[in-house]
Amino acid sequence: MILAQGFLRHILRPRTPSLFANSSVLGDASVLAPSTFSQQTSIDVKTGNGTLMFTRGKRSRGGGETQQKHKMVNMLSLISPRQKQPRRIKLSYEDSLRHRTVHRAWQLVVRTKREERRLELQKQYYKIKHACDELRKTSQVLYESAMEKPSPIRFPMEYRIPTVTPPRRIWDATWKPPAEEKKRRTV
Amino acid sequence: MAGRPHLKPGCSAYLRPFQQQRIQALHTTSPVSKNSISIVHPVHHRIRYKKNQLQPAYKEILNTPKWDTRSHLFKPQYAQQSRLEEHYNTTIAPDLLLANFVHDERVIPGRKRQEWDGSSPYHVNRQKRAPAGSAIETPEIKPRTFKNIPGLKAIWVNAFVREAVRVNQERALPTMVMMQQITGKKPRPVYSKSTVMTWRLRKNMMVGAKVKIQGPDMYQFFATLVEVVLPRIKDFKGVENTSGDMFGNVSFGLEPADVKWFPEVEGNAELWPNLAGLHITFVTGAQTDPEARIMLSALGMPFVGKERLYNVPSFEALEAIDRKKGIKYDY
Repeated sequence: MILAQGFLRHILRPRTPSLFANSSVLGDASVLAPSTFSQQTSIDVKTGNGTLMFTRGKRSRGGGETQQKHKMVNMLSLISPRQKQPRRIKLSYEDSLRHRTVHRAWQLVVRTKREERRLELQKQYYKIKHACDELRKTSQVLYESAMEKPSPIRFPMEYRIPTVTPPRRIWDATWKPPAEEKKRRTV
Repeated sequence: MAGRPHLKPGCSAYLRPFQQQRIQALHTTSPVSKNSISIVHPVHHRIRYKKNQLQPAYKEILNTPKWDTRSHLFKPQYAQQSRLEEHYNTTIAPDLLLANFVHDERVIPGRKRQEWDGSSPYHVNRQKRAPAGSAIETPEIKPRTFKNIPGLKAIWVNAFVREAVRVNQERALPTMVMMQQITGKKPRPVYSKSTVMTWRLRKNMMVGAKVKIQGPDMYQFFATLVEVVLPRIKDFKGVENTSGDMFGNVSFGLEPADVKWFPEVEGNAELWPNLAGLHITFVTGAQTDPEARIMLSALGMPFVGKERLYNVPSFEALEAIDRKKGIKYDY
């Protein structure tokens, strides 16, 4: 296959002249030049298990080798850019106006949300700061007690990423935080 | 004209080299019939053309910007809500602001290169000395405010395939394809940098792949890890607390047996016979490792082991530095 030949070669090409005798990247690979006149174009590739033969043109009934060949070709096609160019979107004048309007409206919504969040965080920060200043003026003992932080701070597992639908068991009245394991870890 | 559709008909096929300009022409393979996007970028061949011989239709194609839907490079983003990103912005960020808050925090100086004291005449114009107590310069730790709340900036996924060295370079390809399916972005191959005969390693042979993901892809990958993959791993208690590069980047690894729990791999397990493990690095906006761990635990990543807390200079030490500079405090 031209696909395998060109793409594999490109990715596995030796970037500098090799020091070893067998400098062929693909092992003992014999590549027949693609010809418009021959019915079949084939490449032999040596793999760890044996030889893979990529053929374009007439199908040949193979044994267990064909499955491996298909897998390899399938994998290569996933990373190859061949036949993946999407169709260009052509909009009429009215459609392009609609698109532009919607796009700009959405960008405005996103920007507004971002600025709102930033403002909210700014207010929260200054509230915390002023509260601490006031507490220090009021009582040194309370201030020092408030400034103590747990080390390390960890958010619990129950603080999970919310899902669209609620969990099967919405509220567990008998829930207790899991007891911390005090196992000594062996290196 | 055959072979040159971008040029006006009737112009000469012979193009003089020194009069040519380069453009990025379109990929000539047939496009897919459905409206779709591709993870793998199309190949753009650069061809030479004369500006005055360019057809008006092609001028229009080349001048549309990348973000325009009519461009051939357009890729839609945010077609759906990024769950983890929304959760971070609404819930986690304000909580992290409070968790990381330190009242009257001041800049903690990092280790910087030192000047020579001038005791010798040869100190003039000499290069600065290495930092005290460190081989490299460390950045200063700035006070934590609402402007520098740590968040996930990028995730690097990296794989080294040992079989590619031992057996065949092609053994690295399935892992590369797997990484593409998992992350949603095409990885770059990693080539070896040196030759070691004992390991049968040659320079510039493909030994693995790496990919950097950002944005919605990154959040999706993280959520999949935390909700689907890591809970299925046997005896996984969490990422080590000692993992980190000192400046807020945390790494951990997945064994080949663990990688198969990704939905893309689990769905068709027979297609993935030989897979390598992965190294995953979280690049965060945190200034220190403990801060990064707090943030990652909020996103759902468990941690295990003894925490390594760095030597942060005490208030008295910082005061002494200030006194030398002449700054005085009145309590």
